[in-house]
Amino acid sequence: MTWGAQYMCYVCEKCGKKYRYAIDLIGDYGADFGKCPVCGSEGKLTCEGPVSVETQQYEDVE
Amino acid sequence: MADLKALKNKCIITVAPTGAWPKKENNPNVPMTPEEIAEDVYECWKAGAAVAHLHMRDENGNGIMDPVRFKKTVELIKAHKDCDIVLNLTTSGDIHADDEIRVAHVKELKPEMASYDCGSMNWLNSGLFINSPKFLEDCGLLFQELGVKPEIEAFDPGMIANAAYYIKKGVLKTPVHFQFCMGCANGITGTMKNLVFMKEEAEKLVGAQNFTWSCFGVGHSAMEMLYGAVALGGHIRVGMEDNVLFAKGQLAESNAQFVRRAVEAVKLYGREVATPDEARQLLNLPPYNVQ
Repeated sequence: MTWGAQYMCYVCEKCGKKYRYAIDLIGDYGADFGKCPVCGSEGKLTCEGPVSVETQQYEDVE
Repeated sequence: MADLKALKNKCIITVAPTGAWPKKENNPNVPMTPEEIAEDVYECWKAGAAVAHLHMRDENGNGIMDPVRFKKTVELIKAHKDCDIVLNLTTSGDIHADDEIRVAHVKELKPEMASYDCGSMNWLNSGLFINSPKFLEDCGLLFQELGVKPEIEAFDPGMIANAAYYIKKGVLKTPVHFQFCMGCANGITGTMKNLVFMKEEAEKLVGAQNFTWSCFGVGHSAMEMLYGAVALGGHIRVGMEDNVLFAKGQLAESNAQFVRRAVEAVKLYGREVATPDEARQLLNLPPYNVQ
């Protein structure tokens, strides 16, 4: 039994951007994981989960 | 005795079409009913899959260990008389199922293979995926009694060590077959370094001549693990159990789409796709018995 990619979804409280990080990329981003890709602020975690209608509203951070 | 040397260049493609988690809302093309799963498996077999790893769903799309649904799905697949795909039934399709119901369908249907999750772990950061020592011992011995080959799913290196323990104890018999599950939440991340490490751990703990292995990666590691397995001489698993996206921002159209891409990758590398009968030889399974 497995499960697909999981995401942590954020809203930047400074610029309002909605974005998500794939949990399997924690190692790639390290301390930057969760930061806003636009302004670099710490984002507020709003939801987490797999590919879904809800998490698809957030832009992937690559 | 199979001529394994002649089969050295063959790569087994397993398809895991459904799994326990994705629903139509995640990807409308995930097969859910016995009819949908059976037709999907048939299409994947035609595309080049040699093994099908099956899960069942209830009417709401939730994972369920229902022997009736397993039986119906297997019968529908076998109704395609030309389809000789190896069937591998999950024993872990519902984290709330008790130990008895997890193997009820295995006892009844005696599939060629069934999954064997070789340790416990947190599930989606929200629940427990329990595979107790008693369950693993009972399950391993049951599989031996029934002639069912365990597919040992290892989500981290500790599960390989656990398999080595059960081999020493006689619960598992070599040659064993590992499925390295890479990039799952709470498991080992899907990187080439980690895949090489998993393979080498298995070689050290079990002995290179005593196992075969396959792998897959979820999410971003899907392609890296696919190419990694092909390059390292392993076998591969694809399908919507592990990934509902075919590429970034692109939902998979079908499981056969994943299989066709895997076939292409295997051929481009210079290996050959194993037929179900060749997979049986590689996995040390008896010849196919048409029933």
